[in-house]
Amino acid sequence: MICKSYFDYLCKSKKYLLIFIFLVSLLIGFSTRNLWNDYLGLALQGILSVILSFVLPAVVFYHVHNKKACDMYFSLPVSRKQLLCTGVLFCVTCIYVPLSCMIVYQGIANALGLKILLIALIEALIACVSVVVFNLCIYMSANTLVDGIVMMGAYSFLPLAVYSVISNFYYNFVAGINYISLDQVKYLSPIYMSFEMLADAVGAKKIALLCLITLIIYVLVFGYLCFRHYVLRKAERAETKSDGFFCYPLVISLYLLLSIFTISTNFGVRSPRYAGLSEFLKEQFILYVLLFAVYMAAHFIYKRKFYFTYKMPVFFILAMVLSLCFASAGRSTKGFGLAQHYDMAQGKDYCMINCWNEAGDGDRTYIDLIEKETGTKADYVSVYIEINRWHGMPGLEMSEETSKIIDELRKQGIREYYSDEREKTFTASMSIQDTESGMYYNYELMQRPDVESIRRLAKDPVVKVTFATEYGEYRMTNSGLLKMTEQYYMDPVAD
Amino acid sequence: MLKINGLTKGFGDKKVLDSLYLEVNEASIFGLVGVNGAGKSTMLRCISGIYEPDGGNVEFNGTDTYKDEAIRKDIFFVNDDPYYPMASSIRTLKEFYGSYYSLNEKAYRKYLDLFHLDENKPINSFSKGMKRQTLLLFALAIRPKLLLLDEAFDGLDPIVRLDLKKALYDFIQDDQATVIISSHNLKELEDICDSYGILENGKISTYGDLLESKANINKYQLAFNKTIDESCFEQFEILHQAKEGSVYSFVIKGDRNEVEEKLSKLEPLILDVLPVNFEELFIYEHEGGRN
Repeated sequence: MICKSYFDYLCKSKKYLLIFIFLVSLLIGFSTRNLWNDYLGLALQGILSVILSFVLPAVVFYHVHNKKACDMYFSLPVSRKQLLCTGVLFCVTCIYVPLSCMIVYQGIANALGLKILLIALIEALIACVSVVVFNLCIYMSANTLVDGIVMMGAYSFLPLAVYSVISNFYYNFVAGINYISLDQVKYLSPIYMSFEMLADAVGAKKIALLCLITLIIYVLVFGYLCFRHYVLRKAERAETKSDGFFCYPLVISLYLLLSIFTISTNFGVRSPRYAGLSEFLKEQFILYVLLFAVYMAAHFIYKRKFYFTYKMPVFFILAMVLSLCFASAGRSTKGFGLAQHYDMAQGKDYCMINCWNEAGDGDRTYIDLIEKETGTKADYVSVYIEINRWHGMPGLEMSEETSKIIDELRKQGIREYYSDEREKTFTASMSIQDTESGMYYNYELMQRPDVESIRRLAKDPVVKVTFATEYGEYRMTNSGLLKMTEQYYMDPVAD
Repeated sequence: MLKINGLTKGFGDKKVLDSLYLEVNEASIFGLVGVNGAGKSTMLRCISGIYEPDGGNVEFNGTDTYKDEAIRKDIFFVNDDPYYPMASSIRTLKEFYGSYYSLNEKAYRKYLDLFHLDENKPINSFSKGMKRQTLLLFALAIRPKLLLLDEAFDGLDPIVRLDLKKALYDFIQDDQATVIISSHNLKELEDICDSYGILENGKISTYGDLLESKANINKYQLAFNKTIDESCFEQFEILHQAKEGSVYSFVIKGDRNEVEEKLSKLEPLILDVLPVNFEELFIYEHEGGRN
């Protein structure tokens, strides 16, 4: 499988690159020697590894994109399988050796333990192989060096583009979800998964099993695709148009769809200034025109000439109509009912309610509270009620009543989000974070929670209250709070 | 022996080689000629195992050159525009080729001196001719059993051409190797080839021994002192004809003695027979094929 002669040749011919990698790795190790606990060196080495995972396949497998080089390499008395395996081995070695040295270096410094260290080293190897075969497969799906680099960039940014569209959709259509965690798209990116897996191994000392399995699947799938792209490759593909399905045709179409959905989803519940579709199109027309220009430019890069067929505007218009239909459906169904898919009874790990102060009688209670406690007359007062519920901690279970109040507030937030009142300034917000899924819900409340609800919440031992003034934050104990709420809510101070 | 069995190769919709059959014996230099775009380079790339045939196959000493990489140890391809890795020198290339082929050190030194090449200088600083000589140096030092030269004489000065021809003679003589040369410079090919093939419409339209073929095609000049019925020339396989006054010029394919005898029966005033060179042979064959 491996051709020793070719490996030796690669080592000799790429000696300057190897020296560069060695020196940079040494510099990283040396400059972060006092920051062992932060794993900064490992993070920097990880960044270097990511850069190398793009550079090395492009350098080592440059010959597939050059007609003359194809003549030289493919006429050698070495099988293509051997050339491929040796090339991949060289790339992985160049990345893995300095990375594993850094893992051992920081692992020893942080007293990681042999088991964790071994796990980290094995995981790093799988990460290196998966990222290299992924990038190499994409690079070889093209037919020229430039196209190979463009494809690697396009596919690397694809998870971010997908994330941006999903995030935009949630922001515009679904009450409570302003943004989603990058975790939702991490399985599209072997780089992201590799970082997370290694961070879990050395930081949290645990195995990110799902990431590990996914990366192994990546190795198998993209390893096979590399085989197809290299061993079964027709040498005459070099320096021709990159018109393979997974190349420009798919990439251009995908990015067009993602971009057009991003624009169209602005016609959502969150954008009440668009009374109707025609008004939206009038304002967004320029964006669609610009996108079409970019779409044409992408075809120019693909075909290396100005290219226009009736299919292009037809596809563009179809994509636009489809995305607008989707946006209209999302608007009329209030985000396809996704806002309701939340079960408070399951219990969330973290909840915070913020009530902003406003000038007016309605805020007297809060102001009086803070003045009494701190002796400071505040220009503004915010009341934060934090409800923490950590799994498995005895005695800190959230009461049913607290759960009910929070659920009521959430329903109020959803109601107000989809009502015509949503343009009013909100005076309170409630956020709930599910630390298990990473989801973060945020509800803007036009009507603040009433004092009675606050008082009932404050009785729950898992609730903490913080008063923030311009002079600083004052966190109250549960007993202190209870005392105060009893005193002031039951017997409010007169003006 | 090189044997091409129904080789077919196309690029997109264009079929470049179409069921091509050819056999080339060992210890011979085969000249591959054809017009631009005829598919000479494609054919050489198929032989060397770079291109996968769409149909048919190429066998060298009974082994498929595309499927079995081991046989490629005996084959070396010198393309028309050689590739050299960045910052490589002859010395680094020697290491590269030396690890795949059994490189003859004595031959390497000999041709390095003959071509006056500096083995430590970066090849990128070489002229086009020197770059070509570099690959020829390795071709001659590796001493393959099948040497494929694409546009071998391009960019070489007359002295190097002469050296190369001599080197090829010695190579054939010493190693009993087979050389296939494609070139547009037919005068150069004529000097060294013993057999040839004309590639046309994806097939070898004409092939054979060069001397025999040349003997089979001749230029005939005839002058008559009487009016002659031109239909009497229809009995000949005329590849080319011209008439100036009462003087006829013909290029006729066929046995020289037979043709001469038949033409004599027409009682020409003058009958001259002139041999054709390889270039004319190619032109007339090509013209004949087109007609």
